[in-house]
Amino acid sequence: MLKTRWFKILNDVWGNKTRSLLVILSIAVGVGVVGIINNARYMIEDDLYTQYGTGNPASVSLYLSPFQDDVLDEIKAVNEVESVEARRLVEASMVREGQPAQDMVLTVIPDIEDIEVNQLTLIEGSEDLRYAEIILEGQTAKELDKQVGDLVVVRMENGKAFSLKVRAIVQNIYEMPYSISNRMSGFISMDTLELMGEMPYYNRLDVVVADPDNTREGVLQVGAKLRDEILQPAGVIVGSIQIPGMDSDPGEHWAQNQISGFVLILQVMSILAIFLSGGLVINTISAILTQQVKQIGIMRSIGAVPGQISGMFILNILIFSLVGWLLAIPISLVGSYGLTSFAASYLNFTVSGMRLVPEIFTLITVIAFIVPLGVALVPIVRGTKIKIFDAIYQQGLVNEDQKPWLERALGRLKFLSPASVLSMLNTFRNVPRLAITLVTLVLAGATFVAAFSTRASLNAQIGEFTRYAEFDASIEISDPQVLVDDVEAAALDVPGVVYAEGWAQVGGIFMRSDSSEGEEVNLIGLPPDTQTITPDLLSGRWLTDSDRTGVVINQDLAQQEGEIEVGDPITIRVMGDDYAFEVVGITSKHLVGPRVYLNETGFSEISGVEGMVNLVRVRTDPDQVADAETQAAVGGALEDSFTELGYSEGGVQLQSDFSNYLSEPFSIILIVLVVMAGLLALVGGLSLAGTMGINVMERTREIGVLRSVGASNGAIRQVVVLEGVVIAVFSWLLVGLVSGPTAAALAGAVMDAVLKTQLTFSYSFSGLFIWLAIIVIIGALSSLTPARNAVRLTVREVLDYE
Amino acid sequence: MFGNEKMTISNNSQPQQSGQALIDLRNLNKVYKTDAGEFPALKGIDLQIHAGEFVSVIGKSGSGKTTLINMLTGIDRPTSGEIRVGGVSIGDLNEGAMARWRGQNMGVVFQFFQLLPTLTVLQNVMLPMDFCNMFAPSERRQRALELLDMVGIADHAHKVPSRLSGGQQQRAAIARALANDPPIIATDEPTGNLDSKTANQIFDLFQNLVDDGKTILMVTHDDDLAERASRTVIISDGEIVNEYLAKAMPTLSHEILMKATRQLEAQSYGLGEVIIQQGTPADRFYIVTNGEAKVFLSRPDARPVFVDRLVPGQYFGEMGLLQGGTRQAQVRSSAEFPVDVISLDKRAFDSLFNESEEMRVEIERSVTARMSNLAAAAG
Repeated sequence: MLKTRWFKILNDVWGNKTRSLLVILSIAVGVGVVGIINNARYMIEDDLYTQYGTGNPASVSLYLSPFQDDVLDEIKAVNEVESVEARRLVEASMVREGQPAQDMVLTVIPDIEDIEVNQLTLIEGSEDLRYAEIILEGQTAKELDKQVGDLVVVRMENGKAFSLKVRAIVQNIYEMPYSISNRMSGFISMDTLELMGEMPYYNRLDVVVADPDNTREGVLQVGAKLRDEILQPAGVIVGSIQIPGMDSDPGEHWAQNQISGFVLILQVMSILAIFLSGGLVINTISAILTQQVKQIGIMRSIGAVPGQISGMFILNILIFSLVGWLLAIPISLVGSYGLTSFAASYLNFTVSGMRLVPEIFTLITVIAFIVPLGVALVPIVRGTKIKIFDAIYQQGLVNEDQKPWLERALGRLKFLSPASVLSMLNTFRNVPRLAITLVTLVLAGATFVAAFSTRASLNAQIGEFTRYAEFDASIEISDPQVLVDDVEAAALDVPGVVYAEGWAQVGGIFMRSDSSEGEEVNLIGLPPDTQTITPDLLSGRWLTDSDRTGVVINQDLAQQEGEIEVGDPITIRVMGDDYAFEVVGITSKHLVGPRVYLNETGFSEISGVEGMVNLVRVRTDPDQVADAETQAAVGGALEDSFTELGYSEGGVQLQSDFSNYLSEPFSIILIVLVVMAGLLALVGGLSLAGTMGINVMERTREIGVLRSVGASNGAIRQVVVLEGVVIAVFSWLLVGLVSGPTAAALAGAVMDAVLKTQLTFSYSFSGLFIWLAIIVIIGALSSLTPARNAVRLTVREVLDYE
Repeated sequence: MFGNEKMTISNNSQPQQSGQALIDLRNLNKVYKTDAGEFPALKGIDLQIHAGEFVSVIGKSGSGKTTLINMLTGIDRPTSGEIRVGGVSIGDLNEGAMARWRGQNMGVVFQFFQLLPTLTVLQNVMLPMDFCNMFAPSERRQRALELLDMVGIADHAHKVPSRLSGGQQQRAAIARALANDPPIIATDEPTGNLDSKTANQIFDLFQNLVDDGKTILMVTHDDDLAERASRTVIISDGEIVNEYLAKAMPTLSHEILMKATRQLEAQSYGLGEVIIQQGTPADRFYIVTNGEAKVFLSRPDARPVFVDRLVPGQYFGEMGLLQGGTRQAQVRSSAEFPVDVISLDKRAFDSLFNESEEMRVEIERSVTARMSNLAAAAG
């Protein structure tokens, strides 16, 4: 039969539902947040990297002039090559009923089961490709709301449209998905491509390099080897050798850096969540013990020894832990599944089901049971050893350390009412508890501000990327005969265009001092007084008309090739010839890959052609970049005009598309930062609510005294609520002091992981003031319930101590 | 006025039954340290209570009566002095042993009942048995029900305390105090929160427990209720008033009694020994504390006449002090019992006499009555 003392604990838990719920929620939320964050991290890494790895990702892609697959056998024979596959990428557009056509990329592939590199995952349909049929990428199919067997209409650049039957729907984890790129994706056979009026050839080679050469340097060397020993001798021109992804290393996911930043944030938050939930549990359990002090005294008076009482409260904590743990499991499961699914929708991988990783199950079990018990043991042992006399007769009239200095200081503030002074003195009466509450709140607040600052810094950096690109639309020039003056004049003829600027560009290879090939770079010839970029110079100067060999490089190149500084000589190999330059300036990073800027004169010395132009960028307003709608209009007009003139075959890019392209991959991080900040606010709020609950409980008798001398309900409420607000504001002031360094640290770490740059740090004052609003509201709200309880007490009730 | 209690007396401050005291407090001091300095709550308390006594402790607010009972129950610890209960020096017990000892030997009843609010009344009564592992687990429920039946609230056994009236809650608290069948019940203002009718019922309950052999120590501020106990201990300013003085001078305020207690002298007289001699100068006022004294009136040419017998709590010597300064009769110890007395010198007596109108009236009334007796005896 259950002992009577256990009944007391069970009855206490059930009888004080609000209090029990607060403790259980504290544990459930604290442990749940740890579970969500850590389990999501495991799930994302597990699902994403497993799926990515099993599809044999390309280490390097070579963009080539038209070639046939007869070179593949020779490439496969190269020792460093593990596997290789030829693909054909064609720009096209998807015709949508009642909506503008959507840009898309058609990729020629073999049957799904025969794909060796960057394998696709079949979602539904058949693996074999048939004539006049198309396989749609999952996100494209979802956007179009197309099923297997439905028809889609694809328009080629030559203007001809073709109706293709959907053969299958696949998932392609290896390319930036529609949700980010806003470009649809479909796969067809070479026969179908021919049907659509295209010549049957390949233009990209995806190569998996065998270990141990599967490093950044290794794969670039393998790429160069294939170019020099196989492709060029076979008459195939190598346009570029690229490692897939946004600054990723070979074999890594294309958004590896963003994922690293995301995971880093999760790790930081996970550690914080453990500390915060620990602080929360300390406060709430202290609250229970405070409420139980008198009953402890009574039990001692009827024969209970401290061990028995400790046992009772340990059982009490274990019940809370058990229920909190039972709630934390579904919270962790659902929350981490939601977070992982959110990540999966951005990164286009499949979540392999709702699950709790065994390590995380163990972690949350340990935290749910050990942390509450661990933090509660000291107060339990101390509480159960309290003298019976103090427990029965002194409770409700706490006699904490006096703070004469504070009383004097507050006494000088004549404008404060006695009730306000009492609230402020109350705040500092139990210093250890105040410290725990403040640490919890400051930790939550500093992280909240850090999250906002990281968000602001990322946004500032993304803003910098887009600010750098000060054009409205650009179009590629396909006619090699046309010169820059003609192009610029033609562009100015397009309605709305007030400024046009021709750029020439050519691919090159950075040559290291030991004569080995380094990163592929893009050489850009442009007028020194360019109006379509605003370079942010980290060191040195911008180009001048007099520069011959003087060039400006970007930070991407400077970082990838070691520490290149202003004044250093560099050598770039272009079309087999080496050109020596001197670095006169270094611009900031803009996620456009390694670039070398030189003036038109310098460029013409490389190309041998004066006035060569590959691209024209236009503006509709000399003072500011136009909105997306204007950009789309002028872009369309530019395309129509240049296509008609024969200068171009399309390839219009709008600044807004460019901006979205750059910023979308970071959305996941920005959203996660806000979600995390919200969770921290929740944990911080619960902590403050717990503290206020204890404070009121402990001062029951004082409240009685206040009422006996005529304090109204409003006055009592004011004393309690003001104390909550004082704690909140005090914690906020501390947040203001410490959040600068913590925000810089988190933002720096995330920026370093995501962008490999620490260029921009933007402290979020809005985050700081939002936190002030949140914490003051929480402080007031969390005090209202104890205040309401306090005003319900009659003088008789609260003074029943003697 | 002339009491007739039958007690054996072992010292000059309080009555004692034969045998060793169940509760024995020796030179008990308790000093509280406050921000304003040290506050002595108990000053050298000596108190012996025997099994089966129903002792009420009265005193004004702040006199130290609650402190005294807290020392006795081990709820608080003395600064110095010894407390022996049933031969156990409870000051030597650590907190765990103290709790266990208290649970088995001392039932505590508080003014505000102090029942655990989330347990039913029945569970509250079972709890001490659980903590002290008393009685077989299977018997506890039945015993608790019997105790609740005894205190008259068996019908409310399954209710939580908040659903009971104050009197019912105090009955439940008494049942809980009896759970482990302790020999002693210590209770602090058990009726302080109850109406007079309910207070009487609770007192009757205590009286029944005493009749059943329990020893009860009850702190109260209710003098009427205290008088119904078998013995009353007055505590004033941390000290115990001489019980014989209090019995002899019930109308004096606690402060005056305490003042007089401090001036008392004790004397012992052998069998038949003369304490005061008729016709000699009157210089002291006496109160019998032990044994028996006899009053005789000497007559010219005749044998002394026996006038009265004085037992503990009765005084003599006042007539001489008030009637001309010479003794009006002879008082000596009886031939059967030696006698112990306490006495005040003339100055102390006069001071008391002048300070208290009630005492003056009372003693003058007594003198008149005794003079009348003497006159009658003188024939």
